[in-house]
Formats: sequence, C-alpha cells, structure tokens
Amino acid sequence: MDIFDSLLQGLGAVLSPATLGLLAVGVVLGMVVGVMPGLGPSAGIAILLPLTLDMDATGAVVMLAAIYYGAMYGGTITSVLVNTPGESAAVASTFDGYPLAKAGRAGPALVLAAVASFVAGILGVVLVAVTAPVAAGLAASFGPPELLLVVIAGLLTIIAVMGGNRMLGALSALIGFAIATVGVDLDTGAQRYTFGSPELIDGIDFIPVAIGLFGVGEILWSVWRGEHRGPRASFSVRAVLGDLWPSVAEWLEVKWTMLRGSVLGFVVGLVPGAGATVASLAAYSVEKSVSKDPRRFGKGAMPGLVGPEAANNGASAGAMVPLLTLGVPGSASTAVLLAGFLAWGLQPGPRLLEEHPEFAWGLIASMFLGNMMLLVVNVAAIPIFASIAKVPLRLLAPAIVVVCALGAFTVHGSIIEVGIMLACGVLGFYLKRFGMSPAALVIALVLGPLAEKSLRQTLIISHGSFDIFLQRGASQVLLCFVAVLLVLPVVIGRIRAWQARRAEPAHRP
Amino acid sequence: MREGIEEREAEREIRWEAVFLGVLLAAGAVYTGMAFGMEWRTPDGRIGAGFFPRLVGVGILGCSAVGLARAAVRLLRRRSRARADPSGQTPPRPYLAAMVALVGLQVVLVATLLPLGAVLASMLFLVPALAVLNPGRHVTNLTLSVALPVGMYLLLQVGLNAGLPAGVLGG
Amino acid sequence: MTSRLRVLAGVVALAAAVAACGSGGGATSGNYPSETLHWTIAFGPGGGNDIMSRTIVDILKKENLYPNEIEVTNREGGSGARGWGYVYAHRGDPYQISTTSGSFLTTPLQAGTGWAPNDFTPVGLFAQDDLLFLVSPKSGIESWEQWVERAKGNAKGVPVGGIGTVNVDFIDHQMLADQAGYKISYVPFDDEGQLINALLSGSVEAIVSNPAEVLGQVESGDMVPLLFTGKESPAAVSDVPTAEELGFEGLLAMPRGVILAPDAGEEAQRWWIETMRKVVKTPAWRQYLKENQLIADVRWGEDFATYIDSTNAEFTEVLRDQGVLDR
Repeated sequence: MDIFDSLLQGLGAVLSPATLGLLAVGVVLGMVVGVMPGLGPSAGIAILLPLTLDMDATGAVVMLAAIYYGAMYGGTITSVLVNTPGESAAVASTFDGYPLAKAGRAGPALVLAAVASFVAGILGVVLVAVTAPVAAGLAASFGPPELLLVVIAGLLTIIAVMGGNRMLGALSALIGFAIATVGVDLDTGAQRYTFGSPELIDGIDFIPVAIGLFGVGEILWSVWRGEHRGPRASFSVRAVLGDLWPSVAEWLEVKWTMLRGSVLGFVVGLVPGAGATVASLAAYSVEKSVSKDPRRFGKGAMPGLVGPEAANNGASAGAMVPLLTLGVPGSASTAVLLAGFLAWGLQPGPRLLEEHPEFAWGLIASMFLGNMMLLVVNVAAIPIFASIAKVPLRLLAPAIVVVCALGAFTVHGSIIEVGIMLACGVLGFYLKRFGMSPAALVIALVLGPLAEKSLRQTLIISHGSFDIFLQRGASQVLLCFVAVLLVLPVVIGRIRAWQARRAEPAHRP
Repeated sequence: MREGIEEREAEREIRWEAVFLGVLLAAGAVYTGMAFGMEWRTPDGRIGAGFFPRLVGVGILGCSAVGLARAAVRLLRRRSRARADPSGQTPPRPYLAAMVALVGLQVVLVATLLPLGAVLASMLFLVPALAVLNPGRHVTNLTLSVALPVGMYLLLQVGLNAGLPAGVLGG
Repeated sequence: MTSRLRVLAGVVALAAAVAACGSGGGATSGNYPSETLHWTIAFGPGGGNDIMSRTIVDILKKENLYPNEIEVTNREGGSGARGWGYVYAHRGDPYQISTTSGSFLTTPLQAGTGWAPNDFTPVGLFAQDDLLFLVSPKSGIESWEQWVERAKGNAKGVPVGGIGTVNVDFIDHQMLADQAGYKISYVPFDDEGQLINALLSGSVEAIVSNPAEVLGQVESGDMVPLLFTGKESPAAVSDVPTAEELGFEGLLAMPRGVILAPDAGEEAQRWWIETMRKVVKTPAWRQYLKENQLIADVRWGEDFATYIDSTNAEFTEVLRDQGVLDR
C-alpha cells in the first residue's frame, strides 16, 4: 500500500504541465536520437545531458528518463527498418525484425515491438515499485562469479543465431572474440593488438562495428545482388496502410512472449554490467527454443522480435533497482544518469529513496508516463517511418551510408571509428555472402570482454579454484539457469519429435 | 545450358569463399603469432594477457583451415562435373562494379570528412554514388545530395549540438 | 548556464575557428586574454573530470573572470589520450586549456601517447583524489586493526578490489598491505558499479573508492570505512582515521588541476594562476569540493609541475616493482 502511495505521490509530482512538457520534449528528442543509426540510449543521454544540467533535479530526471525511453523506442525503428542497432541491447531485435520488414511486415513488426516495449515498460515499473526491496537484495548478490554465469547465458545465444553451418558460425564468433581482445588488458595492464596507438587502448567500440556489419554490410550485399535494379529482387517493403496493423494470429502468437520477455528482462536487468544485452539475447534463445517452428527464426518470426524488445525494456526497468536502492549503475545509460545525480547534488546510494522520495518516485513515475506517451507517439509515427521502407534501394542505399557515417562519427567524434565502420561493412558483406554470421560476431564482441574479465576476476578471488560457483547461493541458481538454457532446446525438440511420431500413425490409412 | 550457368556461378562462389577463408587464415596466423608473444600465465599464477588471445587465435586457425579444405574439396568435385558439361556460357555477373564503387566512394567519404566537413564530404559522396545506383535521374539525385547533408547537419549539429566536423565551411 | 554556454559555443564556432588560426603569437602580445578560450575535457559528459571542468567554467562565467567566449568540448577516448593529445598538438597556443585527473599520469604509462605529463604548461593543482578504504558490515570488522588481523589470517592473499591495475587504487592497496604485513589478491574492475557490487555481494573483502562515490552506502551502513588515504578525512566521514594517523607513509593520490598547452608562454601561465587563485576562493568552488568530498590541496605553477613529476616517478617505481610495467 505504501508503495502505491509513493508511486501516486511521484505521479502527482510529475503531473504538472511544465514537467509533462519536459516529458514530451524528452520523448521526441530521444526518439529522434534513437532513430539515428548508431545512436542509442546511452549516446542519447550523453549528448543531451548538458541540456538538463541547469534544470532542477526532478525536472532533469524526468527529461532524462524520457530521452532514455524515447531513444530505446527510436532504436527499435532503425533496427527493424535498416538493420542497424543503436546499442548492444538492440542487436537481438535485428535478427527477426529486419527479415520481417523485408517480407513486407514492417508496420506490424513496429507496432508489436512498440506494444511489447510498452507492456514490458509498464510491467517493469510495477515490478520496481513492488519488489524494490527484495530485488535490491538480489541485485546485491551479483559479484564477478554471477556476472560470468549471466554472460555465459548470453553467449549461448550464439548457438541460436549461427545458422546452418556450425563451423562458419563458430568462426564468426571467434572473429568477434578476436576483435574484443584489442585494448589494454585490465588485469595486467599489457597492451593487446593496439600497435601502440592511443586510439585503440580503450578497445574497439561496439557501435561502429555493429553499424558496419549490419547497416553498411546489408547495403553492400543488396547492391551486389542488384536489388537496386528493381526487377531482380525487391528491397522495397509494401507498407500499405492496410498492412500496418498486426493480424489476430500475430497478436495471439506473441502474447506469452511479451510476458516471458518482460519478466526475464527485469530479472536479468538487475545484474550490473550486462543486463539489457544479455536479457534481450537470452529472450531470443528462449523464444526460439519454445517455438513450435524454430526454423522460422532469423527469417522473420514475430516472437523473435517481440521477445528481445520486451526483455530490453524490462531490463531497463530492472537496471533502475540497483541504481535507486544500492547506488550502483547497472548499465551504460544508468551510469550516465548516476553521474547526473551527482551533478545535481544528489547523493546516490541506498538512502536516496528515503531522503529524496519525490525524486526517486518521480523518476519511476516518469518512466511510467514516458512509456504511455511513447506508445501513442510511436503508433502515430509508425506509418511515416514505415514509408521509409518504401523508398527504393537505389536512393536509400547512399542515404543510409551517409547517415550511418555521420552517426558513427557523432558518438565519440572519432574519424577512426568511421573507418572501422567502413571496414566492418566490407567484412559484413563477405560474412553474409559466404553464409557466416554477423550476429554471432557481434554477440561475441559485446560479451567476450565481459566473459574474460569476470572469469579472471573470479579466479583471482578463488585463487584459481572453480569451487566458488558451488559455494555461493546466487551462483548455484544461475548455474541451473544456464543448464536449463542449454538443455531446453534439446528437450523441447525431442518432445516435439515424439509428439509428431505419435500423431503420424493416426493419419495413416 | 541453364544448369551449366548455375554450376559456374556456384563454382565462382566457392572460389571466392576459399579466397576469403584464406585471408582469414592469414589474419588469424598474424593474430595467433602475436598472441604467443603474450604471457599465458602471470608470474604469480593468474591467467595472463595472452591466455584468451591464444585460444581464440588457435580456434580461428582451425576453423578457417577446415573451411578452406572443405571449399577445396567441393571445388574439385564441381570441376569434374563442369568438364562433363561443355555447354558453358558466362554466368550473369552480380553487380560487383556498383558495389566496389560504393566501397571506394566510402573510402573517399572517410578521407574527406574531416578536411571538407560533414556537409561537403557527404555531398561529394552522394552525387557520384547516386549517379551509379540511380543513373539519369539528375533532379532527384541532386535534390537528395543537397537536402540530406543539410538536413543531417541541422538535426545533429544545430539541433542536438552533437559535434560534426565543420571542415572548410566552418573554417 | 552550461547549456546556454554550449549553444553559444556552437554559434560562435565559425568566428572562433577563424580567430584560432592567428592565436599562436598571442602569448607575447601583452593583452592576454583577447580571444576565445578552447577548453578540452578529455572525458565524456557526466564524469568526474567533466563536472569539475564545467564547475570551473561556470565560475569563470558567473564571476566574469574570462573576458571572451569559452568553448567547451568533450574529446573523450583512449582514457584521456585523445583529449590531452589534442591540447598537446596545439603547442604554443595559450588559448588551449584542460583539466587533469588520474589518467593524466597513468595513460602515458600504458600507451604510446606521444606526450608526457610534464610536457604541458602547469597552472595549478586544486585538490587530490584521495581514497576511502571500505569493508562490508557483514564481516563484523569495525577498525583497521581488526582488518589487519583478519587479512593476516589469509595466507594465500585476501581478495581486495579497486579500479584498474595501472592505477593508484592498486598501488595504495599494495602499499597498505606491505606496510601492515598482510598479503593481497588484487582484483581489478573497470566499472565503479561492479566494484561496489563485488563488495556488497561478498566477492571481495575490501575495496578502495573515492569518498563521493560511496558516501550513500557509508551513510546507510552498507559499507564500513576503515581508513582514508588523504591528509584529513572529509567532513562526512570525519571519524575515520587517516593513513598517516595509523602510521602509513607514502600513499599516492591523483591530481586534479588545470594545464595549458605546451609552451603556452609565461604571460598566459601567470594570468591563469592569478585567475584560478580567485576561482578557488569562490563559494561555488567550496561547494563543489564539499559535495565531492575533496580536500583542497593547492599548488601553483612550478610547485604543481614538481608535484606531478614526483608523483609520476613514485608511481612508475611502484608499478615496476610490482611487475605491472615492463619488465
């Protein structure tokens, strides 16, 4: 009861015309930033944070929450329409989102993705409000051993996306791991593959690689196949207005997907460091393994888009729990938010909720309202965005290249990253041409460093012994989770095969 | 006859796949070589900086070598079949020239982005790129080549203050 | 204030850039400062270095201390290598300025940055980033003596955490352990959140952190501070003993200060020392120090340069001894 009182109070604080105005501005700005290829929530918040530094704390946090969510919704649009994720958590949305757009289902895909984000966002806010104390305890039990297990759960997705040729899929992932080793080694301080260049000591950023592999690579692939010449194949998506709404069958297909994704996302989102990315990837694996027809995944299966979208948004709500209750940022975006807290003179930490309830609950309430606004704005704007998909490739291809290049530049203002984007575009083309897996590469790139780092931290703590995973309660639970993820596809496959065999004799004459 | 064309097309793909895997093998060899220059374990027994790179490098070498071998086997099998069918025509070429032009123009874009600035460099990319992909439609092409860079500039630089290179226009 | 500043900076970019072309000779003209100031922040928005820079720029604007425009740009990348490299490349330009933080010393040790900390024209040091040594309340440890006793019981090395390896966190952990006579297994993190969580989840037994980042946890009793490495403990944790009081010596800290481009000229250096003397006396600056739990430690010009050199030397020596640097 207390909690809902507080939430209502927070809503009351946010419901003034001025803050609602800020919320609306933030939502739209966030969407605009998020729609830029390569720019996602953390880049959006970083770019727009200075705008909010001279506002009062509540106003600023309302606006930042709005930007955060706006960028996430906007990023979905680019992932689906031009195959370009704006942050690592959106990668999983491209696996089936883009094939759906190519199959002429851009409108329904975007609508369902927005609805999934909305459902997960609202459910996430409720979960934050109701479970914060319990969830805080859970979040506080995640150290390096647990992070490693969570990351391994995410890496298992590579198996789900690598495609028919396992060896080439594994090779793609290994290339991702190789790129991930560039930079200064955290533990020993040794330089790896930097060739002495200061630009490389922080490693190769995910964003230019993803824009290149997915966005530019796809353009090159389409041009090479002559899709700009019209008759041979058509890139153009028929987003006729009648086709905007998902069919009843599509709604029914994803109703449990949304709930599974939301809850999975929220729980994994509690883990500092890997939350949203692992959550969306794991949601993809789960959906593929529980699906009646896993072969459709990667070719335009609606649950393959809806699951990761719900998980991504659920995770961003989950990430607020350690931020508000422990003062621990769980993701790149919440880290920028945390820095903002300090700039506004707020002391983040376990007492934030007690000492500044209007602020903390205002943040939660504005997440709630922001999600509602975004659903409305999105559904209104989807016909416009979906019409981008109708632009013929011969015009769209050069335009996307320019937008990608400028987007990649703005993230860190680095020309080297634009060059990396270009190189990865060419690499992405060849991966696609020879049946390798850009998706596996990117997953390995994002999660590889986390896996290496947390494994090494774990072994330092345990003095080289693996028993540590069996000694910690949270680790035991996660070990079971990983085991389930590994075994689930096999078991479900067996059951389906058995059912099919049982059904068969009945049809025989 | 059509089968002969597809046969040749497939053969060409395998050949290029082999070349690509060969490049990966070579890059993997350099990577692995450097990895063996890093330590496997630190003096006090921790996992060293070279531990993961060595595993990854060896993995890349193994996978690309196996892939290369498989491609070679497939190629030899097809060769013998292709000889049996001498009705060979040149298979339809994919739009390699257009793609290569697009890559080349992107190199120019990266090279000119800082000196010329975002707006001019983007225009310099768009005009020839559109001329290749969308030939003959001069008005459309020119409009897009001007409107897109200016629009991006207004949005990113003026609207969001996100820091695009100004180049010669900005001084 | 800051946002208007940024917008303004964008508007005057053209004029500023034209002006910058002829700025090389400005140092000797006797009317410094007469042009737009280019303030480089070597890190992204929102970080400690960013907040400090923007605080100073705000004060300069509010108190009308700088007569012309100030253009603030975040040039993050390569742990500061890119931003300071940019300032370094403007040798002789008295209108290129930046703020330092820990990476100013550590990054050149790790990578071929092409510059060293003492290449720049020193203006002043304002504060040091000292560290708080923390344990979990679940351990039952309440004093430094209890900690040492407990740590000595772990012959393999007690797991302790901090940010990075080529960093003061590692050095101070190692120095404390050596002088107190216990053994550590140092676990490096690259993210404050994961470091804090490692302590809360019982993965490591102690961590060091800047006071501002853990004050919330200390106040709520989720972390117990045992020792502060600076000269005097910040107000919020004033009952925590300092390392000196406990008999430790030679602990290092990271400098927070201001530097100009190399060879910026004596006139510019003198002007900035005078101006920054005024800045550090303002209430806004005191407020900043208080909020970030920083202890003022002011050294100007050559004193600052000497300080950087000696800290850098000690730093390199300790890391060499530990086998972190070549070797």
